[in-house]
Amino acid sequence: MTPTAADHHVDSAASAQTLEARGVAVRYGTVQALQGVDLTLDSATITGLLGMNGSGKSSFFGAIMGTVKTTAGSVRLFGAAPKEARSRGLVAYMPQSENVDWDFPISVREVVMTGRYGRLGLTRRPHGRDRAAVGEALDRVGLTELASRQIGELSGGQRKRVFVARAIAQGARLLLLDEPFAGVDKASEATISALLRELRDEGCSILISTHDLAGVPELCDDVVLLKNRVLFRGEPSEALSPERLALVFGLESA
Amino acid sequence: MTEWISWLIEPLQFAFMARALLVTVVAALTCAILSVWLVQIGWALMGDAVSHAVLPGVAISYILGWPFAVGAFIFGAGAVALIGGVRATTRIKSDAAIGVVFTALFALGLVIISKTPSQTDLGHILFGNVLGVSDADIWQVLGSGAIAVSLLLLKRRDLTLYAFDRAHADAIGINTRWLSMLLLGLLALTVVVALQAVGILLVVAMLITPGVTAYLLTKRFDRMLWLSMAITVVCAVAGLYLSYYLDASAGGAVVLTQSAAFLLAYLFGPRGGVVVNWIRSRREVVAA
Ligand SMILES: Nc1ncnc2c1ncn2[C@@H]1O[C@H](COP(=O)(O)OP(=O)(O)O)[C@@H](O)[C@H]1O
Ligand SMILES: [Mg+2]
Repeated sequence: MTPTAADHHVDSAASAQTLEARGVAVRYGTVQALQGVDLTLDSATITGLLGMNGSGKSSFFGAIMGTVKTTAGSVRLFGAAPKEARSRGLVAYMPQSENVDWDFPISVREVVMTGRYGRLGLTRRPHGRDRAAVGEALDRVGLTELASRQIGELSGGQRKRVFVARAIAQGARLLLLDEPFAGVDKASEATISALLRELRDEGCSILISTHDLAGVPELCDDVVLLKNRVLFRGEPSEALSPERLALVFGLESA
Repeated sequence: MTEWISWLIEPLQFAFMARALLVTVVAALTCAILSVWLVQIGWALMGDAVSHAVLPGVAISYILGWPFAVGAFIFGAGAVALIGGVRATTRIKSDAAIGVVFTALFALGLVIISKTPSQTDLGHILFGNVLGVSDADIWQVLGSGAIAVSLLLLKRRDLTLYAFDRAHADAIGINTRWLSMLLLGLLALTVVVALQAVGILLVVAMLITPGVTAYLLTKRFDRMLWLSMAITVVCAVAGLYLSYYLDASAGGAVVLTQSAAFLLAYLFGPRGGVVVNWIRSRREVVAA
């Protein structure tokens, strides 16, 4: 990747943690989705956020992005206030499939271009360098040929790669991927995993939520077990011990 | 040939028809542009609500001698704020919150008008009075329409992102709260423009039908926008001529023409046309 404005900003914050969450709590009415969540992330790591449905994974992402109101705690991104880090385009987000309108009249290339919007002016009219960055990102995820397709006309794995491409075009340093392997076949999962490892090796910090354990050991450097609060944080091999999994997933997979 | 030309020119010899044409085209165009985002975000009901909620504003404007746009905008924006307030402070479901607020405001409008019978004609407000627009009305429509259209086109990429993936907009620091307020403000403004043309009751048709018609015809947002505008202008003109020659309600004829365009797209459109799909499936059966 060519150096970008975002890279420059990162240098100034290189010493700080990518993400630093302290005592984060989220409540919806009477449902306490998250309670006292402490989590720090370093650059150049892939962290798996494991928990069953309803354990608060998406809510945690929402808290990082400011789309979900926290009732307690604080979040710092790259040593700065979250709002500032987001405005610098440091944070990219891949939505859960069920939260995407796949019938929306928008092409693959247009979706990837939205990764550049933070750098564009009032009307978000793209310049040559933005088109080049989008082309490069599409190339890296192998979607160049399909760039003009409407996003619904892709397979499950290709759909996910669109959002990885968007993160690349954005030049983000923290990637939040919500269930990136749901509805994705094994071959595509391997392609996406390889891509994520490349991004990690370039210094990106990647947080992946999943309730599916397969693939976690090979992909993740670090695992967080979540059940409305952090139950465990550490090596994948330790996290995936039967006792720990029973704790997190209850009877479901014990 | 000359018959056709005279058929086209005849209505325009009347000043009221020329003005009606201008107002209808501007109103329909403004609605058609807003429509593409409204239907993609799922705010059709919001369009319905705001268009009804302006009734007391229009009534009060007439009584006080204000420009109608002022009262209508105040109540349109007020309805949006009230709906947001009810949603934020109760656990009432969104559509019910919308329903409670706009029916209350609409009823308030009816009561106000019933108490001041001499100055206002309820029928004109509800069903439109495009054949009787004054110069002042025209200037309000042109002014409001120009503001709404230019803001919508200027922010069209942001609005599309907002409709498609709000979370990403938040993640890159775009102020989505401000965008939603902009869109709702423009909705109120657009309703003000359109109620002159087709009346309060049919504004919602002009806010929904063009967007869904264009959606059936294309998979690209930009194309959807231009199609929505083009179809709507054709329908507005055709509808007004129909109403002239059939001596029928102008607002009704314009909306009905738009509905006919929707029907054509529904039946024959490449994206979801039921006839097209039926023929395709027949071919596959035959081929199998
Ligand atoms: N918008 C919401 N309103 C009310 N409750 C919600 C909302 N979003 C999530 N929840 C609840 O919060 C809990 C955590 O949900 P979520 O963060 O989506 O978990 P996960 O992504 O791990 O499945 C669940 O009990 C869920 O029902
Ligand atoms: Mg989730």
